[in-house]
Amino acid sequence: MIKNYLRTAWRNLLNNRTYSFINIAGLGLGLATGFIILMWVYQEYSMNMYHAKADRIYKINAKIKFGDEETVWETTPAPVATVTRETISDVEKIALLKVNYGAKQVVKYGDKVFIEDKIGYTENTLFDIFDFPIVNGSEKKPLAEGLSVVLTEATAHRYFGNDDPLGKTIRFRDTLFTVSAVMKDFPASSSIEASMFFSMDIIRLKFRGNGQWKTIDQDWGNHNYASFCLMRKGAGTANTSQALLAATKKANPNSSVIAYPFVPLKDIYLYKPDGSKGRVIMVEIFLVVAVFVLIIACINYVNLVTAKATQRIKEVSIRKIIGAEKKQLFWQFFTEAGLLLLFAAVIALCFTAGLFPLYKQVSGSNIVYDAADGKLWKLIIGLMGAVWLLTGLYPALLLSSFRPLQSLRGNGLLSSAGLLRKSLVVLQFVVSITLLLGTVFIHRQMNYVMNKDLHVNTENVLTIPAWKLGDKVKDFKEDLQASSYVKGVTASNLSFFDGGNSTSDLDWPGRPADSKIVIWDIAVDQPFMSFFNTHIVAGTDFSKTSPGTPNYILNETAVRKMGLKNPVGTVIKFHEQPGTVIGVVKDFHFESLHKELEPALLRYDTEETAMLYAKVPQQNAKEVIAYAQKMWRAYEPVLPMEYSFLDDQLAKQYDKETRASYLFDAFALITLLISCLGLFGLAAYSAERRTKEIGIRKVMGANVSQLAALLSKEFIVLVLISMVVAVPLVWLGMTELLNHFAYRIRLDWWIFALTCVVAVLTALATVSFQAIRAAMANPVKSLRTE
Amino acid sequence: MLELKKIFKWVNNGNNRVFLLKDINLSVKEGEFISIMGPSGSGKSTLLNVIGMLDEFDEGEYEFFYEPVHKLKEKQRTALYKQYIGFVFQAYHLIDELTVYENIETPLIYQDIKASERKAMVADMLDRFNIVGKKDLFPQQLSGGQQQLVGIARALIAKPKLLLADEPTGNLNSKQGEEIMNLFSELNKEGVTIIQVTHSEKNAAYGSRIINLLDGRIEQ
Repeated sequence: MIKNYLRTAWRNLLNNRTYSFINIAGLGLGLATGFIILMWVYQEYSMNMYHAKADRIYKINAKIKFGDEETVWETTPAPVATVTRETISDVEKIALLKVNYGAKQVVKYGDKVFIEDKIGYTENTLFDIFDFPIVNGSEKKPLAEGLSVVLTEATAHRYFGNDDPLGKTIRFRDTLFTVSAVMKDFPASSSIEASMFFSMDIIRLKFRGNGQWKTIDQDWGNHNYASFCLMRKGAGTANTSQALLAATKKANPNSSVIAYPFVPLKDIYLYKPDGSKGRVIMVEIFLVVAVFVLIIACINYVNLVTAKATQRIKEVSIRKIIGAEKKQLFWQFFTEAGLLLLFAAVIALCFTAGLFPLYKQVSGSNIVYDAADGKLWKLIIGLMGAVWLLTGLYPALLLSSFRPLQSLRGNGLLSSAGLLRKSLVVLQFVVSITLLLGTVFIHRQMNYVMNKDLHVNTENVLTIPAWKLGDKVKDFKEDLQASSYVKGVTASNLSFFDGGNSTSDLDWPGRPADSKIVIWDIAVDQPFMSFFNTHIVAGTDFSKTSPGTPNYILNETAVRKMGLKNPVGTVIKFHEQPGTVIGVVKDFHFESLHKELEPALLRYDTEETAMLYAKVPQQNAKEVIAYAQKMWRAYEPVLPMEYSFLDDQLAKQYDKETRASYLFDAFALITLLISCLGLFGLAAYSAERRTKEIGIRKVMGANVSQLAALLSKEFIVLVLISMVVAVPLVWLGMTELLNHFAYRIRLDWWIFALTCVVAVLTALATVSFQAIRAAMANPVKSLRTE
Repeated sequence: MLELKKIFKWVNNGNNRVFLLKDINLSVKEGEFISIMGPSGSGKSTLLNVIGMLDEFDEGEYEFFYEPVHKLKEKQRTALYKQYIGFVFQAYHLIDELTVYENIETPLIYQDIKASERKAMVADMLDRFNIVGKKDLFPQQLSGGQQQLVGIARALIAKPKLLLADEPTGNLNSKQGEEIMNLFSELNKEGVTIIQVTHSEKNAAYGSRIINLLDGRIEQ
């Protein structure tokens, strides 16, 4: 029976090559796109969720109040763990974790030198809470007493090749550590990552009983550690969080922490520390896009099949008359949909294989297919099943329900299906136009952000993080200045678009008693302002100031927020140090445009240099970098010099958005393409169905353009309706999305208009091709064949 | 074999009720060969379709092998005619996507007959109608007479007790038509009950009884 169904289905595909191609290609493209996106979404959602106890694991954040401002930090002071262990019984295990991401540090094994940028500190409980399997060494106590270290397999291999790592010693910060265990490498689905773990005991030992904090268990001031805890089964986090806060208040009454939110493991990757949506926004948007693309592709199939149904009516009738039951016919058409889906899946596979490297490159994501992941297969099978139902169910029900005689007489009983088809086309174009409009606005926003005047000259600026050189920075700076290619050098504690210091320790005359502002503390050298072309709007720059003098320059935002009427000459207190405001600088952007510009205070101080900036003409960049590296090695032979160009660093701030905008381009294009494929098929069908009508009209004297207009009209009306639905949707969605930018474009009406015109023209081009072809046909011929 | 009692069928056209069949009383015995005649629009095909359970009627009773058809559900009706009735059309109505062999085989598939058995039955039928050589051709590749032979073979493959034919020779030339009618006589002699709709006196003469229809009524 199945064989018979498949045979008919196959021959039908062959007999209607154009329709089959449109159907299969559209569905295949949709499947491939949907699949790639869903894979990524799946990977994002499954981040960290592979741990067996994942549902009981929480990260403890700290909600802090400074003045009026509340922030949530992802880290807690170390004593939180101790207090939890001693007083909170609902927490089964707690582990502190500190990983210095990006900080390059030197580790030696014998003569071999390794630069590590993911060194972690933790406790043995970490291995109880998470599934980080130990492959070599004690599972109970991977970090042995004393000076020990746990390496990942990859790290161990890097250091010792195939030798047994256990018992070997490595040198870190002039101390020897013994490898006590080797753990499995972190899978791609773990957001926690390190190349090696040292014991927290090492940090513990650094407290020598003098200074402000006598021991690590008293150090309430430094929020340095991520705290992960495993809750007892059935224990709630609300009470635990309260209890922890009470206990810490008892131990440290001066704490500025006002709450300890317990964040479930599943949220730590996708949400911001304060619980607001972070990465998950992107994931949700893409999930919606994936579902849209799949639905559009399914709609195409359904539309084309139901449009073709009149041609299948004869077959259905005959089959019914020679004894087919409804059930059998239903299965025939459902099988047919399955067969087509199978072809589409093969095409999708080719598309996926072809598009995947490109996608990876554009998206910057590191999707890893794990063929052994049972869940992944369930996802794929589930997806295919869903698509099968979506594409197969309705056409099969429709086709199998024809009454045999009615259909042999060949009258149109598909009017209800016609209405459905129209609604589906509208839905398709709503989605296409929405994505198209979204893409246009995202591009405009990106353009705006990238080309907005930052009031700071970032051109040809070589940036070198120099804090590692310690007191040798000055010498290195002089070396740089000595190069004839370098047009200028400046130093600051500010790392543009990356970070710097800020403080609320600021007092000024006329400050309301309860008012505090957080202000950026930017220490610069003398040429800083001329180097970056910043503009002094009042007073002077630092040209007459000597280093270390308490002379301050404020930016306009600071002046505004402090409410100073005549800022120049005002004496303010910064870090308890009274000083004079000697100038006001026009607001310049030192953070990405995601953030509103913040108040800043500049002071002339070269003791805190973290970054060096050198102006280097593009054509000499290579020489300067080579020269700088040579000089650097004289001061720091092990750690390599890092560098970047300020423009690149700025672009990197918008990397996520830029990549997303590329992906959106692709998705918008694909949905539009699929929708047009469908429209093309429908128009072809409509022209075919109306052959006789066209013939008659032509005989009556209608010309080609009148006929083409007649045929195109029904589809263009649908596209116009789609526009009316899509525009408000886009308005709402974009308003929401643009809220993530402090500086944003307006949603101009003419862009809506222009984009819609483009969509209509595309649809018109698609439809009129068929319409014109039908209108040009010889009427005598078309009437005769009737 | 079957009995129609006071069958009415109509359509409503605005306020007017147009009768397609009016007070039809007809009883058919096994082994009969009946020809239904009448001018265009007299309701011949409608009557045939009602007998074949393809069309419904609005009033009256229809018994087929002692089953009250008017009381049966669609599924039961399908099962009934699947077992007893074969259909032959003027326009052949073969499935274009299937070969001769597959067209003939299809009814057996719907009766859940095993593949090996189907093969034997189709082979017999091909043999009988002398179309073994054509079994892998598609309908478009055959002449009208050949297509009608396939249509008849398909109608007979499930061994129906009743063969309904709607102007089976309407699209054929006289020689082909004659062959088909000879075939019908032969089938009738083998015990198949036949009801045919025809315009041709000559073809009607092959039958054992002629029913004349005019405006949906049987002319006495």
